Amino acid sequence: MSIEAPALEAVVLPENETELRANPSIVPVPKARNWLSRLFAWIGSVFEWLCGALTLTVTLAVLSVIPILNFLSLGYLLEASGRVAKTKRLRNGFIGVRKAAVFGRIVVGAWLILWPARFILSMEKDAKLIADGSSVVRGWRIAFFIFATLSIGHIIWVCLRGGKLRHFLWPAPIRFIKWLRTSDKLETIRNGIVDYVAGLRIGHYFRLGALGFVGGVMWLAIPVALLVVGAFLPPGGGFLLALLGGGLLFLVALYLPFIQTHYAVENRFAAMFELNRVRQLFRQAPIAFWTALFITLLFSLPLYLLKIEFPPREIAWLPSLFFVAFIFPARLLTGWAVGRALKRELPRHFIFRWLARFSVIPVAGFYVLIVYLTQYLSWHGAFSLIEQHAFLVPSPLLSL
Amino acid sequence: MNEGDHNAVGKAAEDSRTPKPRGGSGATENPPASWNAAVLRRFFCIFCVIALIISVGFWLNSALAAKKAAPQIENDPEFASVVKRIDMVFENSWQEAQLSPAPSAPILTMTRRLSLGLTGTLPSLEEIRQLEKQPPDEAVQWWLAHLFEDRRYSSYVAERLARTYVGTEDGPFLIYRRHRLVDWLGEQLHQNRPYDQLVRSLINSRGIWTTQPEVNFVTVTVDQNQKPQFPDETKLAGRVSRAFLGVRLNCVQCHNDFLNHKWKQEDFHSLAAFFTPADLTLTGVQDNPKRKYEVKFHGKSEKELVQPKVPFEPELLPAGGPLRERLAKWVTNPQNRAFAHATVNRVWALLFNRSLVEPVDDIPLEGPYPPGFEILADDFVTHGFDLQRLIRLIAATKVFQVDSASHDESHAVSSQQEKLWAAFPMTRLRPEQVAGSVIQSSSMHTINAESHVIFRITRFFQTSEFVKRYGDIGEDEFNQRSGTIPQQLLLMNGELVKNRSKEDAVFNASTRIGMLAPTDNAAVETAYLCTLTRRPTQKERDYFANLLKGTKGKERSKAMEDLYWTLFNTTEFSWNH
Repeated sequence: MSIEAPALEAVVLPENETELRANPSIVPVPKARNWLSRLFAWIGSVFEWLCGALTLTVTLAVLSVIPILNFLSLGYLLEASGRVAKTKRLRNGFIGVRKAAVFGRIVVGAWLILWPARFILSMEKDAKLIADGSSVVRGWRIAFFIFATLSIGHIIWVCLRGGKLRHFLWPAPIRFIKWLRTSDKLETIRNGIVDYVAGLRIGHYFRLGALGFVGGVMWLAIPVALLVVGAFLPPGGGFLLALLGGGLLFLVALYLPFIQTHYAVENRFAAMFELNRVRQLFRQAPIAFWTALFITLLFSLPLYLLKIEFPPREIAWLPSLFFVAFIFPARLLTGWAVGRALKRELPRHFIFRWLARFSVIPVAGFYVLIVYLTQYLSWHGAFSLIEQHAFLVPSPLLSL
Repeated sequence: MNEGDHNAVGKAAEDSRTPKPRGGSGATENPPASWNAAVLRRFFCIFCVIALIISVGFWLNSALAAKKAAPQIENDPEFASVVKRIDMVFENSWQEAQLSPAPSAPILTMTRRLSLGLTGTLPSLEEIRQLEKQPPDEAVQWWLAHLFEDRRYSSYVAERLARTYVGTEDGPFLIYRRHRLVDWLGEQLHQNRPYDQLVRSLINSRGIWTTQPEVNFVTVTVDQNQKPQFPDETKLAGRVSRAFLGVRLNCVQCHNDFLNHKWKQEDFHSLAAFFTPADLTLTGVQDNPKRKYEVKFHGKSEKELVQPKVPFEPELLPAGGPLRERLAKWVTNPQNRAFAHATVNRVWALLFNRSLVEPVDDIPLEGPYPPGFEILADDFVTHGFDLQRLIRLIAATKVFQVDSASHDESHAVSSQQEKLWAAFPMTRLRPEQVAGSVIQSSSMHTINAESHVIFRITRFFQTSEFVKRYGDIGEDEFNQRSGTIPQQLLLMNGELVKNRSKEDAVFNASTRIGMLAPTDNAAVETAYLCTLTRRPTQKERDYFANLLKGTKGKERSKAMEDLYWTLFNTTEFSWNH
């Protein structure tokens, strides 16, 4: 777990600190003396933000393929969508990017720092296979314990210092000794960890994701079940069931992304079933809703191509990178559409409303057709129909 | 994940850097005289705690590894009596031919044979060390239990069987997924599903080729150049007869058997008629009873409607049910000896690289059969078509355990001894076995499904490239062939051998052995165990130890590279013996 230490880095807060606290996405920029310093600070800030976005994407991708933990991934996406809807600003959907940057730096740094210890461990294992009990084995084993202990100690110290990459290069021993002399270090470590973990709001994301998942499954269960059962029946009955399931999926696909965002805004499970409210919101921003739906369904299609082959277990999260890269923007856009609707009180002109209504028919129809055809291509066949990653997570059940 | 969260720990670290005002509380106010000792004690405590955690992790890892390396061996009293009967009939046949069997092979040689036949690679040094901890009389069965738990066994044997079932071609686009079928086969083998059930699933498969992977056995035969598209009955009949019955019935597809008049053209097409209902629909392969099978027989001018009929043992065919289901039940009927014969012969061929009855898919229905053949077939049927038991049985026989060479230099093994299984037949390794052996030799640890994904991906691409250059045999698996000069050159100068023997302390065992072996003798012995799965003779040990003597650093790595290159290019390395 990374532990950020801004105090060590002498960060100067902007003058309007109130605004910063109200709006966490504002980046604290070190006070600059001239344009060159400002430029470097800006480049550094952008680089840090990009690192954070990359870390966040990878973390969400990894979480999304781990059973149970994938609720965290879904919860984050829903929260991002909900925040955009509430604040009407897209950038507010990038939650915790700076904190993710610290986490990413620590993971990369720790991975590099542990390389020598890992190499020594592999040498110890090989030496043991060649001549167990020899002095060579003992030598490598002692070297491993020393290196591993120092490496892990160094990583912990880096975390305490703020987790910058440069901290990995020099352990700052004098500062470490001074820190050892402080009397309340254990208490501050405990408080720091508690504060950090509490700041992650894991419980909130988990609850949001789990309930969002349950609600999504309740909407999708019948159409998906009809499609799956239809695939196992003889052609006549199978086709009829598939037609019925496809029709229902068509209807669900029209509303579910917006229902989920509405649920994230309201933070109530009952909101998952307030269809009339979503229909009302649609009337208030029909073109924005059509755009968001088009992008959501379009962006969900590339991931089906990655399901043709089954990747090894260790790299199962790699296709999920595409899931996050495509679905995250779609979720933000859905939040933006709902936000636009919330801003207005009156429905838009009927021409816009009916134009959008007619326009969603080919979009959702094409999506349902592609989803139906994936059973002929996907590694898991008809069971891949369960993987409704446009609304849920990439593999909600098959990885269990 | 709130951005604004500040961290108290960082503040504490900063506080430790910032001088504290005099008069406040804390350890820095009035440093005691022995503060250096206190700091050292704290540092030592932290160091000890981390070291303790690492030690516990290290111990747990070792304990788990030891537990994983302890497969269970079944204790079956009947097993020994079956082995004894097989040994007896072979010994009788040797006596009749006035042959004496070769001496018993060392245990390491037997494990090498089993690994090559069942995983397509050599035992690793790690596995050899585990094996050496087992009692010698249980070592072979322990080794088999170890292999059966390993995914390499199921994956490799699945690929070998898939060559028989569907060949090696890519097949029709979209509706055929060979990789999916092989994966499914591997899962069935890993679960040790009874072989009759597995075969019934293939013959009587229904559904979409992705959802029901066994359907690919049917869809591979679809000719996409023809409209409308249907599974090809003749190809399916040919596969079933050769792979599951050990009968080359497809030889009479175009005319009657002119040589011994045993099979007629009608026999083949009557078998093919069982597959006529198989149809491609929206829900994959389904049965369409309306489809008819018509053939223009040799010498006839008109097509004739062919009724489904099995070529032998008609009384075993169930009276009712869909045609493919009836055929599947007939093929796998315990009284249908052809099915058990075909399976025993193929499994024997996997282990020896030579079938008991040759060719592997042409077994006479009425015999005569070689010694042990019927006993193995009986046991296979009696024990529920258990493939793993069949493999264990064959591996326990004296025939499998004899050496390939005579220990008496004045009496070399004769071809007659090899022919009658009095000596283990020497056969050239298959291309993927050579590649697998080179790759495994370059690591002291086992490269299996639990290895790092980078190792497995590298192994996959290097094996594919090597097999492409070495030349794949295709589906005629057990045709003995001689080696070629390009193949030998590939071993001498090819990228795989070069990359896997060159100086590389991270990835190659040759360099690591040079660095880690406490003595030159230990280095030579380890290299031999890794590459040839045996210890060097005294003469070999002395010769190579002399080359390594006094070498250090790069010079030693180069000497180890030369040793590895030499061992890779020995005849012993590229042959099963």
